[in-house]
Amino acid sequence: MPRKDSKKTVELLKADTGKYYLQKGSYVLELQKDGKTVSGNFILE
Amino acid sequence: MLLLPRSIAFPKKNLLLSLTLLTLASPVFSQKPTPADTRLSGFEQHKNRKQNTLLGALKPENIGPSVFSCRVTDVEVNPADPTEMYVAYASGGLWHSTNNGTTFQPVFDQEAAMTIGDIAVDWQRRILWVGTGENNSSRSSYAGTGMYRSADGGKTWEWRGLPESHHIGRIVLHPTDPEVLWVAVLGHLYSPNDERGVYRSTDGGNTWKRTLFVDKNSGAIDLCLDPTAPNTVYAATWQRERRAWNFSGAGEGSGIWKSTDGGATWGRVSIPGSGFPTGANTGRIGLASGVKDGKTVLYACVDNQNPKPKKDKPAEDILTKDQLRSITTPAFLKLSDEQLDEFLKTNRFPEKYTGKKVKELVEKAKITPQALVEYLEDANAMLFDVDYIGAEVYRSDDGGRSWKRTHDEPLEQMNFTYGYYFSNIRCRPDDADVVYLMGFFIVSSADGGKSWKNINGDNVHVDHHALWVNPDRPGHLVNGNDGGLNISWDNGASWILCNNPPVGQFYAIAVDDATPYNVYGGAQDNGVWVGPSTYKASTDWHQSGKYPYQSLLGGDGMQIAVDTRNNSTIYTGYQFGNYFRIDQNSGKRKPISPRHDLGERPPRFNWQTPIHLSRHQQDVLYLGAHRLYRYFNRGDDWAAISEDLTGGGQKGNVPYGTLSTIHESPLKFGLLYTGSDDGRIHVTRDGGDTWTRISDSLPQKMWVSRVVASAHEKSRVFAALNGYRWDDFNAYLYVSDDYGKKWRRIGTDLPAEPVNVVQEDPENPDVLYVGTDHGAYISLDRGQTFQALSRDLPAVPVHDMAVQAKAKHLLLGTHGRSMYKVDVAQVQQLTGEVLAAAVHLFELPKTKYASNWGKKRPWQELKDPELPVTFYTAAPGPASWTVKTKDGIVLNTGQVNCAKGLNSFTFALDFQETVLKRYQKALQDAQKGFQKNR
Repeated sequence: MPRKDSKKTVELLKADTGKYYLQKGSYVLELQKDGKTVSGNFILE
Repeated sequence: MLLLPRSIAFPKKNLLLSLTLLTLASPVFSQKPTPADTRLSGFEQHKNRKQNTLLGALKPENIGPSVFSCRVTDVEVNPADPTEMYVAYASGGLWHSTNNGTTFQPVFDQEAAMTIGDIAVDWQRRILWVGTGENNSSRSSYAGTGMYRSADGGKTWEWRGLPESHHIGRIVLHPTDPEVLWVAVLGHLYSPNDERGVYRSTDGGNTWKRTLFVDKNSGAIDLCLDPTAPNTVYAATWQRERRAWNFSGAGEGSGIWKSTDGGATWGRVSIPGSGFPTGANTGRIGLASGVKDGKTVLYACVDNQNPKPKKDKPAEDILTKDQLRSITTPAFLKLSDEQLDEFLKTNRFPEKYTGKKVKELVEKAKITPQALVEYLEDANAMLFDVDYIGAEVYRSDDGGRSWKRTHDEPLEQMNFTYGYYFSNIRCRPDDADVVYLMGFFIVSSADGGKSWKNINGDNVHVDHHALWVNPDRPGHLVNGNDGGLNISWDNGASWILCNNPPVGQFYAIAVDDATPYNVYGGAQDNGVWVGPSTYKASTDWHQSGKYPYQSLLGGDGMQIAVDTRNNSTIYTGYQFGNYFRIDQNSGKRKPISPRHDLGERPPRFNWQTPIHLSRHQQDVLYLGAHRLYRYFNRGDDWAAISEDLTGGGQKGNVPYGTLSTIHESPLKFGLLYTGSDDGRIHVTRDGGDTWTRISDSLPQKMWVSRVVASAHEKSRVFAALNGYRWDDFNAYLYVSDDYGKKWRRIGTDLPAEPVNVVQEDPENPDVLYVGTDHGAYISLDRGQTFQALSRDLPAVPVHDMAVQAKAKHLLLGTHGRSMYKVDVAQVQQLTGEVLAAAVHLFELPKTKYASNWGKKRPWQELKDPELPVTFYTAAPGPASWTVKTKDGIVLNTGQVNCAKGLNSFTFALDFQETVLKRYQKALQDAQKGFQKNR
């Protein structure tokens, strides 16, 4: 996904796989199992 | 009187060999072969361990190498389409190729034994037969568990009996009746047994009848049919007995037998007067049959261990070892200095020994003349100094009634002293005058064995065991040897090498501390290699000319120690204690093995002589013979720091009473342990000043495969004992928390598989790694219980392990599948706290964003990016996952089905289209905020 000029809207394009991919940044992944939830952060640099 | 040179003089204070524990009661223990039902139930336990392991998420990655391959024991080629073939490896399983050996797929990885003696294929009905247990009777010829049959090209296998066969020499299928087959059963290698001889099945292998039996030490090694009369069967029997200290490869039980009723009854045809060797010196026999001018021709090769005929007397002024064996002192002193100088020079004695000097020593009775012979008789020399006839080929043109040696000249250097490893012969089915003999070299004859030509091409390894001769195209050969598989289309004038499968047989491995780190391995008959840990199998090197692994040394590659201060200096060697210091940058190599002096018996070196580099001071190296040597100054200076730490050896032709393992405590310099091939374990806490025997309460006479001082607790030590050389296949693993005074057995839930290696995790004191003859296991509770390391690892012998601490990788050195790398970062974090949690998510790795994720590239498959997610759950069942922005926008969700234990899945780093606008706005807002704050 090309990063556009910072003054313009961030453009998110569908890839050839038919999917949209996350952009750079920090995210949280939560896992729920048998009523318990654990989470972890991950960073796309 | 012994002359002790300063370099190996024994420090006087060291004579205080403490045997305080001798008073402990010795355990009641005798070495007994493990019954087949115990082994087979052990295999069920092995499968159960794999099925229920907590560590199913671990994915061992094979990191090669494949280039030098390993010992092939049999090849079978589809005569209707010779580009299809099955290749059996000694301990690397069975592989299938449908493209003339360009690539192979493994088809026999998860049965009770991966070691193969012989295979047979009914190509018309596509039935595969595997006889497990290598037939070459070498020191690492693993025992099988009988016969296996597959009717679907190896996808599934049925076990078909003969569980106590251990080693299978040959399988022959009836050419027209699919219900009839014959099996040459060699029997146990390290113990006498009854299940050996020729077995016949007339119901497709459902039941077997033993129709030829010689005795409990003689089995059947080869079979062939009369091509003109398939009910006429010939069998070769072989008397052989291996012990840890001796191999006897000949006896009255060796002979050729004939049946004319389809193998129901047999009569011996190699009898006195038949022309074929008989008697106590008859070794391994191989058979072949073909047709010449419409008549059946039989060939038999034999390892003839009768003494060589006396040659003409050597010139009087040339001194020989044989002369010195019986020479008297007065006669010796009459020899000229020049004669002796020549002898000393020819036999590479150190320069300090001149003829004059040696005579002085004899005259002063410091040594006897025979000391010159003893000096030379180390184990390595004894492998190649042959005083018996060796390989011979005999031919019979009358159905085995009479035999005639085909050649006048001796077949030199075909067998050396290890004819037990060879004796395979083939001929062209339709032109029996074309013969091929396999030994150290592969040689061919076009005149019925009268004259022979070496066809061992320069890209063909020595030590040959298998050959397929195309019946329809003269000169098309498929050959298996200790270096893999070769194919010739021109009768051996040239060969191609088909070494795609990673089937290396490593004895020992090591890692360095470079970034990325390198792996090192010493391999059976293929030397020592170094390569990058990042190795990925590829044929790119065919173009670049640069194979990622490089050879460092030849011979049978042994242990490696790397000086991690520069990652360039290594210590490594080949069999029987021949070690070197190698500078990888300059390529300089210096021999460092301890030398003995005239008058001393040579040190007893194990085949895999152990070395150990001190972690505390890497200028210090330890090397174990029958006693322990310590080297200073990177191997330049050395001294023995113990007396004999073994049981003292035993009479035989295999060095025994040797040290097999050494380890220095990572926590204390000079706290050293040694283990020996005869079951002795010793400790010194003062760098060798005093030694204490600490093995008296353990099972006796077992091979100490490892003794490992803990990196976490100074007084803790682990010991692994291996009963393989008694045909005892149980797992023996022990721990002591008081320097070996008291031992406690651990790993009691390990399957009946001999333990080759135990390795402590450097970070988590509760994690132990164990390698056995059938795989690898991990304990998360310091040995109380074990998990299979993986569900995917083939049932291959794991001989050695290493942990690269920085990379958090466990390396497996297998004896049949080269090396594996396993990321154990999460295993190291499986603490009691994590194991008690219902669910635990491990740290997620940083990932590099790429704007071209999911973008089509010409001629490449579309790929998603991947974020590996690893977690632990206390119970099996479904789990759900959610990925959010930091602000809580849900971007994606999914489900994963979990096993109990470690689990993993990959997140494709994608989000759902339904949140496109919200996500876009969040990104825009974040960007504005970023710009505002600049």
